[in-house]
Amino acid sequence: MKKLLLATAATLLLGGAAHADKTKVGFIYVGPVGDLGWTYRHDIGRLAIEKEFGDKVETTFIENVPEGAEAVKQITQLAETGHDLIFTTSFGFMDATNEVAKQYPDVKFEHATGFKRESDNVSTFSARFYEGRVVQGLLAAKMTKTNKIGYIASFPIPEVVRGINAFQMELAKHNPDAKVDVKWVFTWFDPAKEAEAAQAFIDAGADIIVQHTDSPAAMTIAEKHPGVYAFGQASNMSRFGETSHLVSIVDNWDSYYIDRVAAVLDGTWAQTDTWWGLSKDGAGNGVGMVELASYGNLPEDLVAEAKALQESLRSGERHSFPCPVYKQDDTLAEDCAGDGKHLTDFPTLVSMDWYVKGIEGSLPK
Amino acid sequence: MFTLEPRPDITLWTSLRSSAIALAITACISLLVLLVMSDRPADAIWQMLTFPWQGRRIEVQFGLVFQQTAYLSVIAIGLAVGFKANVWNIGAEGQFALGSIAAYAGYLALGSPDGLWALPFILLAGVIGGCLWALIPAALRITCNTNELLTSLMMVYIGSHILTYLCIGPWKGDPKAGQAETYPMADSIRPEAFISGTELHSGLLILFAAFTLLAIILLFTLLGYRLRVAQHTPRAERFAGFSPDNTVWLSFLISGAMAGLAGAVYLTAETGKLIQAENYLENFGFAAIVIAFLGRLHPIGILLAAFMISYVNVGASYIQASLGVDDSVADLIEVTALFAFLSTAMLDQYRIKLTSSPAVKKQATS
Amino acid sequence: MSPDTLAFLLKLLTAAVLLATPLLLAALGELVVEKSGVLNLGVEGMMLIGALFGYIAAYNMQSITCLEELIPGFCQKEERIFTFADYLVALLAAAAAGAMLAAVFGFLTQGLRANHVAVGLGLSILGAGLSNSLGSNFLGVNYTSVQVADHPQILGQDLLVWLSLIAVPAIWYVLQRTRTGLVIRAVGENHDSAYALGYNVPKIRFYCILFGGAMAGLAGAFIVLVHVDWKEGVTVGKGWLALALILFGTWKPLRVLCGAYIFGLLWASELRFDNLFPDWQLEWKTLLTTAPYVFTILVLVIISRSPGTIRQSAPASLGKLFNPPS
Repeated sequence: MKKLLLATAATLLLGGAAHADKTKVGFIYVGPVGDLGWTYRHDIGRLAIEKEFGDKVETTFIENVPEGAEAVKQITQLAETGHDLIFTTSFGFMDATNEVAKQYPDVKFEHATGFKRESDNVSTFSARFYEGRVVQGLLAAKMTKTNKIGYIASFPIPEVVRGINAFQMELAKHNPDAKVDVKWVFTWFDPAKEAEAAQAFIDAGADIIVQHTDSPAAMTIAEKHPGVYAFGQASNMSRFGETSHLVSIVDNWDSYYIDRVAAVLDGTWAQTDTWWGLSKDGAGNGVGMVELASYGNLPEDLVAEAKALQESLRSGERHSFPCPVYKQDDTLAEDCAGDGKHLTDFPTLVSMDWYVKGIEGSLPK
Repeated sequence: MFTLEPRPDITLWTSLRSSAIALAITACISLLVLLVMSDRPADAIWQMLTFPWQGRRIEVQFGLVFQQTAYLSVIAIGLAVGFKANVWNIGAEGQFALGSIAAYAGYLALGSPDGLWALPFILLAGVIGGCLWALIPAALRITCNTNELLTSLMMVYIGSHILTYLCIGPWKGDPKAGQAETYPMADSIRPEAFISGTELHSGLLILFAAFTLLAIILLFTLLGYRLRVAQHTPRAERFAGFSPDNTVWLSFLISGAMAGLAGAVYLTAETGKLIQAENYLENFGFAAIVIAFLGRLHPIGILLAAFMISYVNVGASYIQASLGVDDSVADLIEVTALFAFLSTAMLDQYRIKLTSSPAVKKQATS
Repeated sequence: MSPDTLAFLLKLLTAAVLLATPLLLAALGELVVEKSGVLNLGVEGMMLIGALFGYIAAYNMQSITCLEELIPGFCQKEERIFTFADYLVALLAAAAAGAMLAAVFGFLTQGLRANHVAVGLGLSILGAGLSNSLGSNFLGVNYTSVQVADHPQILGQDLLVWLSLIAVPAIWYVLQRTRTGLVIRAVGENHDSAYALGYNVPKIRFYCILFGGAMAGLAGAFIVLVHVDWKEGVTVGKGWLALALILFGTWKPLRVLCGAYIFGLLWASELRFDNLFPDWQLEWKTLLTTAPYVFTILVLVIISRSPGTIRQSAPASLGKLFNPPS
């Protein structure tokens, strides 16, 4: 027993010494690494850090962390075990991140999709996923034969509503007869329910399935029905839909993560609030956080058209919400009054809780 | 072969002995689990045992442990009352949710106050909410003879959906939020940490006070005695001047009140707002069932069990951060402990006697 | 009835089958367990473990088979066609896994006489925890969907659907008309007199528990092989509903069947009828999700109210501790 203890102490000391000069980067994931969606893409970002910085960094991740108070425990443990930079990768970690950050001023925190930065060591970042929805809107407009489109939505939060609106505006532009039907499933990851929703849409005659939930279940259902197409979400889902996958919106955190770790390494890290789309600055520079992957099952000219649209969004030539934007009740959006060019980030897009014209149903106020 | 022979009575000694055996079994299997699940098992085991002294601040780790201990023990002791009397309320999770909802409703009803005077009323609202939700399965059991185990469980699902409904609709908060949540309560009425930088806040003291109060009632009063004898036979129950119906009412009332209080404290101290169910509820209500059985339905046992499981839990989260060991080890250890304690309970009630096998006996007689 | 309505109802029924079959399989297994006087609350856990092992088996047979650890260099690269025999093996794996977990329950409750309720609850926690940690490898970069594979179908429905339907009369027949059934019922009705008659009560119950576990395993397998791919907690409470279903069916296989399909239809309707009420506020629809649970409680109340129904059909020794006189 004594020997064991001595051996343990020795490894601890040696281990401590060996790791002392490495920068430790910790990740808090909301789901399992293998969810093939949201968390999986964050983990790809973590691996990109390891590849980029090699021996200079050491990364740790904690998966399946419940949002809410439990998160405090897990984030605290990362801070307690000497991590220098901690990424918390879901909105629900916002309060916990800020709470822990106050206690560890020497540790840097990066919170995804949040807006609270209560102390100097907290940064926030998010992606303009809706830019990808614009391209999907175009593809859906051209590919649908029944003019019925099923949209599986998770929760009525701004991010999801932005996606629906961006999709609808582009869809209506190219195919005014097509109609989007939104089903709210009130879950981010429940394959059974997502599959059920997809099946219900297909049974009702929809031939395009759009999803803003994380599992590939809807895609696998679409695959079983010839002539039904679907879009992938969060990660490249083309392998689940050999004959049905059109294009996936892929979250790409790699370049942001590498930037931030580099900033910690050279001591230039400072608080920021980042919102990248297809490019870093919305004007075509750098690799952004949104990617469109694996165009497939599409006629060539449509792929070309889609890629052109993607490029114009990336370069900032056009905006995802160009004026005039009409709300559900046919009133003009406030931002478009006067000489407004497009909807503004603040306060409109960050707190979007209304539908654009053409979507039926209501959103809670 | 062996046979089991009933013991005349359960003494403290037999109970301690079987607990020690169960602990030993748990320890052995836990070591095995850590050996299998870790790349550096020696470090994992060492850090798991001594984690409060491994991190940067010892009080932070003990804060986390006591925080969990408080929630688990207060819900578990409430449940244990019913379990002893064969009343199966397994819906504490739902009563916790309704406690939180009622507390928030109380906060709104008081006009979103910012003075500390409001806190007792908010907590009281939580207690009432938990009680009312618990009384539904109780009432169904008494008036319609409906199985309370299943109804109380169904009420968990219903309660958590109501929570989500309120957060999405009527009580929707900040429109910028990326999850369904209400507006936060005023910071000034939220219990503060009494050791800065830790999870040790006055809300936990309220929970421990409630635990102690119920423990004293159960151990030292006539009411406690009546509830304790209720488990044996309905006749004993009547003899003690207690109808079976009253036992059901009281069991649900007590467990609902405790879960509701825990929910109200959780709302005010930990989150400060209601959040959609899957981001708000953390399974305290279900984990407390395990704690109640680990503690052999005895107040002191429950406190020890809650501490032990919380220690393992926080320890597992520590070695996950330091060594990357998946923290599902905590679940595995918890279930191992549960099974070990349940199966060694037999040693309290029976004496094991070795006998020759029946086959051998037959040969001998022929 | 117009052809459209008929088509709609048919589609509704098809969707209902997907949800009703796992409920039916699990409930029928647990029915036998309860008939023998044992209450196993671990159905949810056994379903999860069954689901995981069924999925692993199917996954391994469908795609690349690598036995690198066992035989160095052995890696069968090409994708295999998923055959009927493969499917049966996957089902067998699921049933065996469910039965293994049930054996733990059987050992603790029958061998060591631990509290049924407590061990059952523990089993649900164990099943969830174990399947989460073992299953995390199967949600990963190497992940391919088992769903896309063609499953052996008979008359347009999966084998397990027919199996669950055949199991209804089969279990009724065995319980009511055979000696085995008589013994099981005797043990469940009055374990003391069954013991006095010379039956080995714990052993008979143990076998019933194993059967229940195997059926729960199949129920889990159906979810991940026919309906959706494996994920953590993929059963989402179906095991608990199966328990309610038995009360709903008052321990009668045919009524359990009806109950399972009523639940299935209710579920399938939730996402299909929401368009009928366009004026509904979005948040009201979240309350619609509670419909199956409210319905379960209502049914339980109605059933328990009618005098004697439960008392007549419930096994008298259900959940009671058996102490053999020594």
